[in-house]
Formats: sequence, structure tokens, C-alpha cells
Amino acid sequence: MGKNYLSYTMALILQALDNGYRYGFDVMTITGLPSGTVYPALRRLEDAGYVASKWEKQSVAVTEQRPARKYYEVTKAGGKALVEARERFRLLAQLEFPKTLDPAQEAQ
Amino acid sequence: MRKTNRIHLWLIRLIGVIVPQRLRADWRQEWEAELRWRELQLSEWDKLDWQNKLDLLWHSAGAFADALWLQPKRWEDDMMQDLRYGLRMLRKHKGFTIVAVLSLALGIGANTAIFQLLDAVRLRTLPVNAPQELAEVHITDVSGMRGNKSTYYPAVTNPIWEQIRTRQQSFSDICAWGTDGFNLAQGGEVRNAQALWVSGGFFSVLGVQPALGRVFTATDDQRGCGAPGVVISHSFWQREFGGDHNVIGRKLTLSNKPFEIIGVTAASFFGLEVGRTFDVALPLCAEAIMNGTSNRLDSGTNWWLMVTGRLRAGRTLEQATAELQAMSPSLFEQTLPANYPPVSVPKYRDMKLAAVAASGGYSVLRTNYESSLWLLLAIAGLVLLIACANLANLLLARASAREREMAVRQALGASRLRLIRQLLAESLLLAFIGAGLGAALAQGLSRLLVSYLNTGGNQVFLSLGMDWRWLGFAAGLAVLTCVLFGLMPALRAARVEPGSVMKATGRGLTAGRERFSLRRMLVVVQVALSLVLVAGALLFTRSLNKLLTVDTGFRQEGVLITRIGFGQLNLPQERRLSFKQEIVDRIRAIPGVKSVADTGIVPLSGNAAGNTIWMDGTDGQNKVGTNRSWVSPDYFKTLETPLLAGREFNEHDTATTPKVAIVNESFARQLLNGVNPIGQRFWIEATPNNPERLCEIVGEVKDTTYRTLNEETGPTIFLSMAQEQPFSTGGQLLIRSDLPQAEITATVKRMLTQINPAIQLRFQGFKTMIEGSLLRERLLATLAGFFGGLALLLASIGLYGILSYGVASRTNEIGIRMALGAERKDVLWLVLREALLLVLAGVAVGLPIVFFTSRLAASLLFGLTPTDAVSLGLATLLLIVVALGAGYLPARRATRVDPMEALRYE
Repeated sequence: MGKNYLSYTMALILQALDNGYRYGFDVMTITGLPSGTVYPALRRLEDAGYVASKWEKQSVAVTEQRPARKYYEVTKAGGKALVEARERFRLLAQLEFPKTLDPAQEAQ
Repeated sequence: MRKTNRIHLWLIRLIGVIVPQRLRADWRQEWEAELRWRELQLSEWDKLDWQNKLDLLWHSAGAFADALWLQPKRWEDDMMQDLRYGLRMLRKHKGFTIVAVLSLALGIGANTAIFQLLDAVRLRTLPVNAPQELAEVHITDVSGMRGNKSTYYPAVTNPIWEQIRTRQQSFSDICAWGTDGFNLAQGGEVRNAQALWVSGGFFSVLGVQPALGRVFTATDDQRGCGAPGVVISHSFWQREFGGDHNVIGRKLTLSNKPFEIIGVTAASFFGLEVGRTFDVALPLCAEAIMNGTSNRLDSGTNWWLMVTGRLRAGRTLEQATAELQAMSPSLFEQTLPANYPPVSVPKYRDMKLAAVAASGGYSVLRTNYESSLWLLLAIAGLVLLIACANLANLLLARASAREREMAVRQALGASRLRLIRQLLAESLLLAFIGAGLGAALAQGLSRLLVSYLNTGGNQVFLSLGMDWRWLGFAAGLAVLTCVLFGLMPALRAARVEPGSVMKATGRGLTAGRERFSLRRMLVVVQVALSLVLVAGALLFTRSLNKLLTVDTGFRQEGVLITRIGFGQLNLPQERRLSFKQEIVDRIRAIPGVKSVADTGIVPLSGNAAGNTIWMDGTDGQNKVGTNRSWVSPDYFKTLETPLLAGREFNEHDTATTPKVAIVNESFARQLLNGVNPIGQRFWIEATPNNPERLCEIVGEVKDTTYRTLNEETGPTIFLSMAQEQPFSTGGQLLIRSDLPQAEITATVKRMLTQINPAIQLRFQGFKTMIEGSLLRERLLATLAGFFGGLALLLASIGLYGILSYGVASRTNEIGIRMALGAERKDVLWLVLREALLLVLAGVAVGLPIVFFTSRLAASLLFGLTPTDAVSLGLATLLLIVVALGAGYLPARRATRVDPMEALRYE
């Protein structure tokens, strides 16, 4: 992957992260991309330095009785790359992401 | 609910196995957390229905793509770390690496090359459609076969083939084929084209497609076919026509007859004979055009066709054989030739046909070389074992040098398994580099071996392309060798007690005996195996030498064989003999030529003829099979075979005078109990060409070898060529001269071309031909010698290594001994005694192995027993000398130890 060039899929994933969908599964749900695409893309973005991954606080996980999740954040370099990508993919700039994934809330 | 819905979590655990270990825990947690969270969320939304569950499973399957994507990160994994560390170690110890890689490459290369040949000759099936369905139809008892058999393989006559074709039911398709050679040149020196005679069904039985044009079908092969086309092989097309696509329709001259090219076969097809390829194929019916009235189509005494068929679906070989057996009596009754020798008629009627599998094709090469190749593979395998023992020894030596390193690493928390893995990674690297080089080397070696077998008269063609079998073989060898030479040292090295090693800072008085004794054992094994190989090499070399020095009864040097053919001149019977005489006279007149003779059978050429005879007046009570040759005057003079009694043939022996014969010593001894044979008379049985006839013995000659060097000379009769009708349109002239072979060849060629440019010529040195007949023996002797030498070299390296190590670790001891008054020769002996002990132990182990295994090679030896005392003694001596040689350098180093220097470090 060239450092300056993001494919449409990668840009889409980056934008989803930028919009606050910070987990692999959330990105999948919101973009509709399969997990076999999203996870490798996340790894590549991380290798390129466009996103950084962190573990969720243990306390949150404990209360929900599940293992801690790993989340991804767009870095400064990632933000720049996203701006460039939006210029290239005009449609991407038009995309609006819903604020929540809960189908019930969405309906309201 | 929680328990039942965890399939996806198990899936993650399973896929996680292929994730590089360093990342695995994190990776699993991330996926698990995501899936669990999603599950929770779905149940919160009350949407945990089957659809969503399946969806979840589908998402977890995506983890596989993720895991695959992470594979390159393995590079940073432990394994890669080990390999990289190993590579660094190998680079650092260049000398060790070079020795190790070279000996492995040689060992693996030699094994792979020989395996490659075996694969091509024995293991592979024919490159045709469904070869396992092919079967060969042959006659089971051939003792009643009379006439001319022009192939090594079980053959039938054309009338028999035609009957099989019409009668058989077991084969869906069946064909006959034979081999021949045609002359591409029109006069002058012969340019040979290897030919196949094929019946119309040949290509369809084998499922061979044309690369260009078309191949024969049943309509091409009809009796009386006018001007059939010729199908050429892919390689011939490339060689002769440069792969020209407009070759179809062009004319090709075969033995002066023009044929139109109608097709080119696919590149992979070489015929049914493994070890030989073909240039051109003609339909059987064209025999009538090629050989005119003397064609073999209606002959019941020319055995020249092999029959191969494709079994009908569901038929077994047993069923086919049963059917063939049942039809045999009437078939042979019907084809019984009118001119068949009466004695053999009952046997002809009793002949039986049978079917055997033909998936591997036909091969003389296989018959002649298979056992030698297996033997060579075993020998090469032993060399590899020795090389492994050597490497294990070197690694053990290095392991003791790295004892402290291992101790430190263990003390720092490395597990034993980790250390073993790391050491094994090093040997794995060595093994694979060795195997890679070896495989490359094998390519060259196997081709070299094929070209070695490829002598003028004996064209060998083997397809040696890439094949999973030998690639697998090479890789398997690599792994095996790695385990053999790597595992033991690795286990040992990792067993050190960190405490004790690190405490023992300096060196002790003597080295630790235990580890040392393992290395000694390895050296003893090496010596024992080397003894086997060296003894084998000596056996084969001595056997070859015996063959080369066999008393042949003639002088091989200075004789040129000139094979001539003047069929193109269309001379009538009565002119042929005088024409040949004219040629002989003119050659004899060449300055430097001592004598010239013509012969029907060139001794040791592999050709043979035989007849049953009995002495006149014995009523045929005592019938004896004899070798037969028919020769011109001066034959024995030319070969310098001593005439013991009587005379040679001369110009007064003609077709109209009483039949005369010359016999050899064995004849006189066996049939006449040593009575002077001159004047005695014997009967020769009736043959398809001649009735029973009476011959008078006019001469007796010394025994000469007849067909091959390694057979016992039996009774042999020589008949006069002038009395052997019908006269042929060819001859095999033996020319003895003082001139260099190139010169006499050129002169004879010029002269014969002057006489008539249409005469066909073929030249061969007599000695060259005889040496060529010992190809297999020479191959065995050369390769066994090479491997024996290699084994010796490896064993001496092993010995040297262990003795040097011994001297180095005993420096203090030697210093003390010298300080106490030991002389140089005592010290020298101290080391050499060790070498001698090791070698004697090796010999003690090796000799029984030799006794046991050399029996396997008994059939390949000539004039020697497998336990030939000279060879074994010589091998033992050689090993002792080599051991002393290998021990001398360390021993001399030991004598140079300065006592003061040695003791200062105590």
C-alpha cells in the first residue's frame, strides 16, 4: 500500500472510524463490508500509521461480563490521509453516518 | 443459551492456531470480545434469531482472512528468529558451513541423480492415456521359437499378430509395433533414423494425439498400401526441420525410399520403449515397400512385432490371459509356417499366449540397469549416512565449544526446548541449503549419467523432467539428514547443567569422556561404512579389470569394423560375393593395411547365431547347441587368433565344393574328447533357410569369446561365407592396419565412395566397441570408486576432527607427560594409537557388514567371489593408511606442545 494512496474501501473504513465507530464489528455493521475485508484493512491502516489501536478499560468489560474490546482511533496522519481521500472520492464526503447502531433507536 | 451459541468462539480458537504465536493472544481476545459483545447487543435488541446467528458465524469465518493476512508477520516469530540466528551462526563459521553444505550437497545430489534415473527407468508409467489399462501380449514359452528374432522383447511374427488381431475379445483396441533403423542419407556414411513399425491402431490404442497433421489410423495400414505417409516424432521434427510448421506434405527419404510426412506426434510421446525414442513411424504394410520381396509380412519365422492392447473396461489380465490361452492351439496351428524346422514344430504348436501389464512400457535399459541402479542408490545412501555422521560429529564438537553459551542462555531463562529448537533450526538450514544445491547438482549428474550410457551404437533417451517424486525424494532426504545429524547434538547441547559448566572456568586435565565417546562411536560407524564402500569399489574395479583382461583369443587393438550395405545396387545373388571380394581386395591394397576379412557375426558385438549339431555317425544321439559364425578367408589372420590345426578358409571353398567348417578348442574337447578334429564331419540341423547339411572340419582354432566377455566360451563353429546362401547385400569388414583409426577410416570411406557412392557405410573401432559393451561394469566401477573415495575422504575428515579435538583437550596431559620425560615418538604414538584403535574398531564392525551385503552384488561381479580376500584386505589396508594419515597432523601438533607453556595455564 502506497502511503499516500488509500483505496475506496480503506478510505470508507477510515471515515467510519473518524465518525466514532471505533470497533471492527461496528465498522462492519455500518459499512456493510465483510469481516474478511475490514480486519485486514484495519491491520494495514495500523501498519501505515493511520490508526492506532487501544484496549478498552478492563472495568467496562468486567461489568458487562465479556473480554475487553480493542478499539481503533484515527491518528493525525490518518486524518490528513482521510482529507485527501475525500477530495478524490467526492461521494465519500457526502456520506453521513448514523449516530447509533441500535435499530430501535434508529427508527425513532 | 450461552453454551449452545459458542460455535463461532470455537472457530476463532481454531483459526487462531495459524496466527503467528507472538500475536495470537491479542488476536484471539480481540475477536472473542467483538463476537461476545455483538452477541450481547443482539440479545439486548432481542434479535438473536437464526438469521443473525448465522450472520455472526459468517463474520467469525472472516477471521480466517484476517489470520492469513497476518502470516507475513511470522517473520518476527520465534521460528524465524531461530532461522535468522542460525543463518548468522552459519555465516560466522564459514569453514564449517562450507564443509557441511558441500558434503550434504554431494550426498543428496548423488542420491537424487540416481533416484531420478531409477524413476525414469522403473517407477514412472508411460506418458500415454491411462497406461494402467495397457497390457502386453506375449508367448510364454519361447524355446520353440526359430528363425530371426530382431528385438530383445517378447515378439511374434506378423501372421501371428494378424490372427491375434482378428480373434481377441479382451481388448478394446490392440496394436503391434516393432523397431528398426533407416538410413536418412542417400549413399555414403549412414545417418540413422530410429524407426517404429506400427499397426494402424497404434496411436489410438495409446491415445496419442498429433501435434501437427494427423497420425495413422486403421485405414493407413492395409496390405498392399501404395505410398503410405510417415509420422515423425516431435524431437525429430525440431532437429531435422527446425520445427517448421509447413512440414506436412514434405518428402522424407528413408533408406532411399521417399515418404510423405503426414503428421508430428505430441512432444511428450517417445514410443513404448523406455530408454529409447523414435524419429519416424511407418505403418506395418510399408514393410513391403521398404524390404521388397524379402519383406516379413508373410514370414512365419521373423519375430519382430510386439503386441500391446488396451483392456476392455472391467476385464482383468487374468481373464485376458485365459482367453488368449484358449485361442492359442488353433491360432498356432493355423499360422504354422511351411518351412518351420520339423524338430521344432511340436513346440511351435504348443506355444501359449498370455497378457501381462505394460503400464511401465518396455525397456532393455531397465533389464540391464535396474539392479545396478538400486545398488548405486544404496551406495549413495551410505555415503550420505557417512556425511551425516561427519556433520553430527562436527556439530557435537561445536556443541562442546558452545557449552558456555548454552549454559548462559539457560541461566537467563531459555527453556531446553527453545535451545533444541534453535540448534535444530541451524541444522535444518544446512540440510535445506544442501538439498537445494544437491537438487541442482542432480540435474547435471543425471544428465551426465545418461550421456555416459549414450554411446555411438546405443542411443539412450530418458525424459528427466521435473517430477514430484524426485523433488519429494530430495526434500525427504533433507529432513531425514537434518534429523540424523542435528537431533543428537541438539539434545546433548541442551542437556548441560548451567551451574557446573559455568563453574568450570578453565580446562581440565583430560576431556569429559562421555561426550567424547559418542563422537568416537560416530567415527567408528563412519569407518565401518567406508570399509563397505571401499570394499565394494575395489570389488567392482577388480571385476572390470578381470573383464578387460579376459583372454579373448584375438587381439582387439588396430582393427576397424566397416559395416557396408549395397542393397541399392540391386545386384543379383551370384554377383554379390564377387562384388564384396572386389571391395576386400581394394581395401587390402591400401598401404598400411595388413589384412581384411568379412564376417557374419562380429565377436562381442552382442549379435549371435546358434545351431544344434551332432557328429556324423552318431545318429544324432548327442546333439549339442553351438555358436555359429560365417567368415571369409583371412578372418583368423585378421583377428590374430592362433590356428591350432588345419587351415583357414580359402578361395577354393565355394558354393559348389563340399561344405567345410572350422571349430574351436571347446568343440574339439566337448564333442570329440580331444581327438584331432581335422577331417571329422558333423551335421547341422535344418533351419528355415537351409536343409540339414553335413560339414567337414578343416581347421581348429583357439577358443575366442563370442557374444559377451563374461560368458564361458562354448563350442563354436565357423562356416565359410562363400558357402552360406543366400548371399547378403551387406558385410562387416574387419580391417587390421597400422594406421591411426581416423586415417584408415577416411581412406576406406573415400575408396568405397569411389567404387559406388550408393554404398552405405558405418565405421566403428573394434576395441571401442568392446569397451562399449562393458558400459554397465564400467559405470558401476567408476561410480562405486567415486563414492568409495568420497567415503574415505569423509571418514578421514571425521577422524582428523576427533583426533585434533583430543589433542587440543589433552594439551595439559601431554605437557605433563613431556615434562616427565616422554619423548616425541611416545607422544606421536599416543595419538596414532588412538587413530589405529578407532579404525580397527571400525573394521571389526564393517567386515561382517561387507560379508553380509556383498552377496547382493554377486551377480554383478565377474571372476571374483563377493568376499574376495584381495579386495577386502586392500580395503582394510587403505583405511588404516588413511587413518594414520589423518592422525599424523594432530599427532605432530601434539609433539610440538611446549611443556612449560601447557602447564602455565593450569
